[in-house]
Amino acid sequence: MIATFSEHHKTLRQSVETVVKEKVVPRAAEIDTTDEYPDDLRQLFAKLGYLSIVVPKEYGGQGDDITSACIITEEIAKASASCAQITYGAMGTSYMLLTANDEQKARLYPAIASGEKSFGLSLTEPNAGSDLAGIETSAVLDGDRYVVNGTKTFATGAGFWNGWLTLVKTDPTKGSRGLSILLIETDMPGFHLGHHDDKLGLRGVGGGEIVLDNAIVPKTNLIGGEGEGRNVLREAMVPARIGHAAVALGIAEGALDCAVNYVKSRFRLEKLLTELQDVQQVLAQMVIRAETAHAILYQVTALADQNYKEPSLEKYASIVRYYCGEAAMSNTTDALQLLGIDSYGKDFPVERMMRDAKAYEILEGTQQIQQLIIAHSVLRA
Amino acid sequence: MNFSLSEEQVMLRNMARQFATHTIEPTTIDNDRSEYFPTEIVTKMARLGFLGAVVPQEYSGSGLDHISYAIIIEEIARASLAVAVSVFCSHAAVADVLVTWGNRQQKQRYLPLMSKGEILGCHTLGELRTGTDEGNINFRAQSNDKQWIVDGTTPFVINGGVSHLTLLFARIENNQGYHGIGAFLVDSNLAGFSSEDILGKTSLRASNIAKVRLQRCQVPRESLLGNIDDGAKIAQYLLDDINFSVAASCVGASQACIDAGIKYAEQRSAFGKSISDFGMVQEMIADMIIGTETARLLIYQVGDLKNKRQPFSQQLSIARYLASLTALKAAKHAIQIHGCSGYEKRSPVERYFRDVSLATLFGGSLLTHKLAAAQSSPGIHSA
Repeated sequence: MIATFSEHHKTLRQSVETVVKEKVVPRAAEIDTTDEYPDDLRQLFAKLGYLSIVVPKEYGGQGDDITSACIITEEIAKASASCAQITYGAMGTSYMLLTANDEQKARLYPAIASGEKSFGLSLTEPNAGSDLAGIETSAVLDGDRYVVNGTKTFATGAGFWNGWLTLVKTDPTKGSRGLSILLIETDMPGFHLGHHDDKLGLRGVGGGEIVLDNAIVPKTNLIGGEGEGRNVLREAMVPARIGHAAVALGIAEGALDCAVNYVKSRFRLEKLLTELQDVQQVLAQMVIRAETAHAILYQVTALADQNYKEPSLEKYASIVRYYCGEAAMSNTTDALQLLGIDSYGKDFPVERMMRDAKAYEILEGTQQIQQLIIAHSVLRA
Repeated sequence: MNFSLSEEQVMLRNMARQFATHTIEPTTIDNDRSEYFPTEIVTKMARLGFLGAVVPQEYSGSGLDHISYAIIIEEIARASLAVAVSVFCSHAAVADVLVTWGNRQQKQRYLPLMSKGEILGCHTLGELRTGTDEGNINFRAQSNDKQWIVDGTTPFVINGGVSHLTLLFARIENNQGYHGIGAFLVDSNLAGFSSEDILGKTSLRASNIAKVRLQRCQVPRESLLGNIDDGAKIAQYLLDDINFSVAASCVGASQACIDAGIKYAEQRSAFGKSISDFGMVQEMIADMIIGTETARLLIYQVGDLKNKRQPFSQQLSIARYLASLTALKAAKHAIQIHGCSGYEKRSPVERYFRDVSLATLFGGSLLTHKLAAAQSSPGIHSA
């Protein structure tokens, strides 16, 4: 199967490129330094339809495919991974809400599509990261509402977004079949924000602790059925991993661009850097990674767009998330060694890209977890 | 071949470790957060003899050998890479250059004060672009009968804002090419000398890094170090010192990453057991240990060659390359073992990642040292 981009995809990419050059590039450094959420850019993305890209048309969205969503995310990520996280976040929750009922879709999708509200995903707790079955946040049904108690950590968008699709334990006796997804919104009683994450990279997207202290969540915010948490999550994991891979791909490509532009204008011992074989070799490795990551990502998005329920997608989503993450890490590290001190400036922001890249070896499943999934996919067959 | 440390070296290591653990470690997160250079720690290090580690005792130094020096650097770097870089990759390197190249007056004027920590030193080789391009010199020096007039700016000097003595490299006017570089000892209180601290750094925040500028600065004739055409050789000597110190610092940083990774893994559970039981976690720890042990041995070998005054440049390139590569990998792995919590500033491991990235660039990038290892072989020349 050969992935091809339609005319629509090509036009979309060109238009996003222009927006990024004019609106995102000038802000990228400051977002990182100040750690301030760029809500103006979020609103711009909403107006341009980036946040509604995969929301079904009948609910006010673009009803577009995952390939388009990744194109947008990738192009933004070349300039700013933090800004790309905003668009990716919308994509992730939109996919998860495919398992929502009609009332929920009618209530939530239009708000997401218009940019009026942004929602994230909240799974991690102090004692449960890779092992989600170990979560402790409890949700007890009391009539027509759930009473929720617990603490969630590292929630992207904390401090800015309106709510989180939160993994909670509705039945402690049933192990992983006792997990559910509840949409918990910031204006609900008992919802508090705790510690704000001061992160190494991906700064400006907010992040932190969500403290639920006898929080009252209406039963109508239960997504999927009670005990269906793992299944609902599984629906979202494939697009979530693909979306993250797209951000990582953008970082890998952004680092390559910086390196190429840099070496064209610099010298070592009176030779243009471009003439030196060792420099050419490093660049070649960076190109190979970026091109391979690009090819594999869009191969997988084409597969996902053809059949969203295709079973092999679980393996491919992990492969692409692993590979793009590693490409981003390696390309930024290589670029840092090539650019030296100049990696720290605004012109060639490779050092910032490297700090951002590190997140993509961890989020949505660490590199180690991805490898476990990939290994199991061939061992179980 | 003796692979054991002497009794004195073991004692020295224990002393340095105690100091690093009890005096430096408790301050590192705060100093990083507030971008504070801890002069009080430097003063305490002076009292322990660390600042003049390889300076002869006649100039108030400790007169230690080079392996002992590497041991001290590693232990300090393990607690704070920023302090190690400031003290050893800048100040102490300048002191060592003075020991070898200074005349009696210059040594007497500066070395005792440097050993006691009463003045700090810095050098202008901080600006490193693609490799060890000593030809990339930012200052010009013109001579008249009485003095040198020096002009220029360099954007990146470690200790630039806190030092009293700058080892400055300038292109001497009317001389072209390699032999036209002169080394000067410049007092920072001379008229025309100014520095501007670089603030808002992401890396080595507890180090003082500054832009240094000289505007028609009148530098006394006796400030010239060595002969008029010794500049390039002195720069190479300094670079070797910097690389040795960076390599030893990287080993310290890598060891800190190993310690943090193991400590976290031991107490963290997932899937019903301690994550230290998982093969993939053990693989990362192994990667760090293998690199660190190798680099440490190589640095000791370089120290041994330096002690015997034998050529050491190929071994230094190898050691420097491996130590830097390991430190970069170790900082990555340390965060990885911690997961999300390692990506956030309450954990020390994210600071190791930020600091290692910059520290490994001083004295040349990874690729420079890798190629230099080949170029040290007969028949292989610089590209």
